[in-house]
Amino acid sequence: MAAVPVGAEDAPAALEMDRFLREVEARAYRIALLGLRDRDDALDAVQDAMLRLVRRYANRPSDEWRALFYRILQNRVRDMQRRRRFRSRVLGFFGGTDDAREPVADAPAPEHADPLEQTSATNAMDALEHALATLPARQREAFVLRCLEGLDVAGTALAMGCTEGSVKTHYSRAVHRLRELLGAHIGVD
Amino acid sequence: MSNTNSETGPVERFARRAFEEEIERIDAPTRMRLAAARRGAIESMSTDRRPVFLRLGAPAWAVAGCAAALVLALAVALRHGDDASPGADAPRVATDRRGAARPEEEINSIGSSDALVSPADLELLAGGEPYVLDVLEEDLEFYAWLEQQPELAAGGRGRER
Repeated sequence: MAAVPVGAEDAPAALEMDRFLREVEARAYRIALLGLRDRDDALDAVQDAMLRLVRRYANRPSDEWRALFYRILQNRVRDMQRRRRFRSRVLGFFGGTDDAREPVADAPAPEHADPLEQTSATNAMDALEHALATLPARQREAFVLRCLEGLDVAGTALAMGCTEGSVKTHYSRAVHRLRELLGAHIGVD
Repeated sequence: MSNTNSETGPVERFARRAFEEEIERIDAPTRMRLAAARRGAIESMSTDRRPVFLRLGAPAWAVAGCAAALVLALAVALRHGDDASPGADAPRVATDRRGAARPEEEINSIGSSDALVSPADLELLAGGEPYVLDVLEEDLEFYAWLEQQPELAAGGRGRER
């Protein structure tokens, strides 16, 4: 466990927060990457969500942190997507080109023991990413938070800022659509 | 709001497996940047920018109440001060022994710090029009000269009779 450089009275809270952030950071990054498809933007979004959670919600009960953190992250991802759309519209209007980097492809290839295994994992994730990209935003959010991050219905509703009923509807539609799209990969026709 | 993985259909199983494998494959530089972001966030816990009384645990409503009471007390004190010395802030008016205002003193004092009407006030009245100020000043000088003329003063008294 890393040393947490805060005052003595804050130390237990800081340790707990550190543990929580350590637990979610990689998953949060990957989820942000699903929405943004850009490594640096995804890292920025996660960093921003961490800072906001710590500054605004550190005093809330720790069992609420996960949903709050993902709500902040989702909002941040949505803001960045909106800004990107606006930027490309403006650049398109003036006849320029968006010099945004080509995202995930730029990331250095990670070390992996078995190339076959690596290809298989990459293919599975690629297929999942492509399938998720075809879903409406709310369905995608519901599926990612509920299935990939493992939030329960109440937590997903808090993170998405909607009712539990809406979460169930979005999630059910997302699963139905993904089953159609990923049929070949999951052995379902 | 704990993690629950109640759904175990083929889609969910496939998605979770692909996602977990992808997380395992996150490279070291990215992990280092994530760790740095986490450390930065945790360090910001110790640089809390809230006021001291809020950091000490005073409820926000109590702080707001104290601030409101302080403003109210200040307003009452200022108002009381005004009542105690009503003429303190009033403009100084030049008067003769009978208490009537003396126009020549008003004119002579224009431009001085003791002026009854300061140039700044006149500028305010003129609303940024400089020629209005000139006309106003000339008129005042003329009326002051007029009042000092003995024959005109005598004539005025004659008419009064």
